[in-house]
Amino acid sequence: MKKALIITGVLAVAVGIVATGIFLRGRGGAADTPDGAVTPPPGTLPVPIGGAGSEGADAGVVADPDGNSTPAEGPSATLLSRVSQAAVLDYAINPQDGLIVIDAGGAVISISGEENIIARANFGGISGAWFSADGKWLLVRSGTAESPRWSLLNVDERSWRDVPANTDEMVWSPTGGQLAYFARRIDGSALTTFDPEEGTTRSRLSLSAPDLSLRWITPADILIIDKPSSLAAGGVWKFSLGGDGLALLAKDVPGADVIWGDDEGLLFTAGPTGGRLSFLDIRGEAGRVANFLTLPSKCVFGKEELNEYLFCAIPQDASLLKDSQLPDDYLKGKFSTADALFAIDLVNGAFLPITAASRTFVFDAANMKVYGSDLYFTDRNTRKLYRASLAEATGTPAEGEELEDQ
Amino acid sequence: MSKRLLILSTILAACGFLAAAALGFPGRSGAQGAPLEVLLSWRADSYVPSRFSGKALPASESRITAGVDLVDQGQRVDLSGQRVQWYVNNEFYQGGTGMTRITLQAPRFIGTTSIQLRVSIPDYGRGPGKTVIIPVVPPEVVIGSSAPSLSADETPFALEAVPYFFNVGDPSGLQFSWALSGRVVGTSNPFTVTERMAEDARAARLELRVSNPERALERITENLTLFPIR
Repeated sequence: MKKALIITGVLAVAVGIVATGIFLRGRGGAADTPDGAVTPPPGTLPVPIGGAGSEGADAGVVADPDGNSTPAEGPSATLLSRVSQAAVLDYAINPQDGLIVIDAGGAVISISGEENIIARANFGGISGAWFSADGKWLLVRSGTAESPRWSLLNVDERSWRDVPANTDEMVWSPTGGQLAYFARRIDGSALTTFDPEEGTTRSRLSLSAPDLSLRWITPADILIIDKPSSLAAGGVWKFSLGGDGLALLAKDVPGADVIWGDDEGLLFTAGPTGGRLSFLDIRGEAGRVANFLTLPSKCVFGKEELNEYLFCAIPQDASLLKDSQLPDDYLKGKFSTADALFAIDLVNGAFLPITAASRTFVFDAANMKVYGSDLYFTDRNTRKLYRASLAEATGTPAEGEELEDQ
Repeated sequence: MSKRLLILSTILAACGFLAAAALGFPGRSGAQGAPLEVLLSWRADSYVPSRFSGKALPASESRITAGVDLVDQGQRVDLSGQRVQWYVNNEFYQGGTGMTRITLQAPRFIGTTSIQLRVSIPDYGRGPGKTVIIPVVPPEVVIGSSAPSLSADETPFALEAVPYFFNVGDPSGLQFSWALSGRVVGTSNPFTVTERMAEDARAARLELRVSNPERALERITENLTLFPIR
């Protein structure tokens, strides 16, 4: 009996030690609230004087968490200029041609200096166009949703080729050298990469789950996201091309959408109306929650010397987003926003107006990109292309720049 | 002596087994670090324009396709040999070996409701599963123009209607009927209307009716009030 008790005691201690180790190892990663939403740790970005995008926000002044105002540092408010007269589907800057755009009619135009048509997309109704990040390639989608046609322009050589891909969405790699898409299969789809230089495809991952969208965030990582709706919760998955496979970064997120910078992403989570923005790292650890509301499609992370900033177009009427189903209503075009541009310092949380609020010049910013010290965007209403220099500190359109009254 | 050896070896074996389990003994279920996760998603075959990057939601009687993947330690699991079971609103719907994709139909109704869809892989590890709620919504139409505000002056205004979530593959199969201040307006293109407000009108009511001739429940009416800028 005594021996049996000793044996039982030793086994119990051993089980206890191992169980404790399992418990401690299993902690960490994205936290889940009972409803499945990720709970960030305390801490938010400070609100600028007067609130984001409101009239009266002083250019170049920052409100710290205590509400004291201090002079702004970093990229400051400056002039805003229209770059294109025509409606633009997409744009890029490449070393050979400078700034190039594709207009709504399919003309590919170099607009550095004199405008020069360098190619034409004569494929009928164009439903989308995307330049690679380096501006060396242009991808054009035409045809129908059931039977899309994909065409690729080598911008330097001015030559077109078809891309045989049965898919409705393709995305460029961050460096512009490859495309990724879900190739439709009978029983699902295959995440496939395409090298335009070599003309080769490579199947990376087969999935049965349908209706997924892609974001190629680093050379080695692609995000897989459910197409967004405020009425449907989905996941944000990271697929590593280097062989680490799939990792769940965020779980059960309604209306999920993400953009990515050097080290972190900006995640939108929809509410019954409105929603919230939060930061997310590559391991899925939840970060700060932003106390301003806009959509990731209206933001872009800075690059190189500006990589400590997030640039966002924030609707001046905050209630417009808060009272709408997002992103559904915005994507359907049920409303347009009148935005102000801000630079958010990701280190200290400073909120810097790039453009002052205006009652005469109104734009609904989309497709934002940073090239050097310039911020480019298109107006979703007119599709015209605009540029804001981040190096100058005027906060209003420059003299001589005639902007249309809307 | 032999009894002591037996007891000691039993204790050591038990500790070894527990340690191996903690360190990730090669097994079927999620081991250290990476939990077992289910990727469950669905797609509705209702109409959305190709430029719409959001999720197509099912309307009444829309066909829905759902698919499931299982991720274990970061790797997609081959479910071709696994039993997969599907439940709709807590009732068994379909199941079978390797059944990673199913189709179902949204209920026939008027209004907004939802479907609870659950998938279970009962024989893998702890029997992972996942539940999603699929909203079922009425179709809608969005009327827009190139101007940021919907107003009109004495020049003709042009508006475009874009339907969402009707059960058609091509929106040209839908019927559009425009009326301005009670007067039916004829259009060469059913999706657009180009009209002129009366010279002394302070406002005008624009009404658009869209219906799917193949489905009696798919009809909506959208109303807008237009104000001229003078």
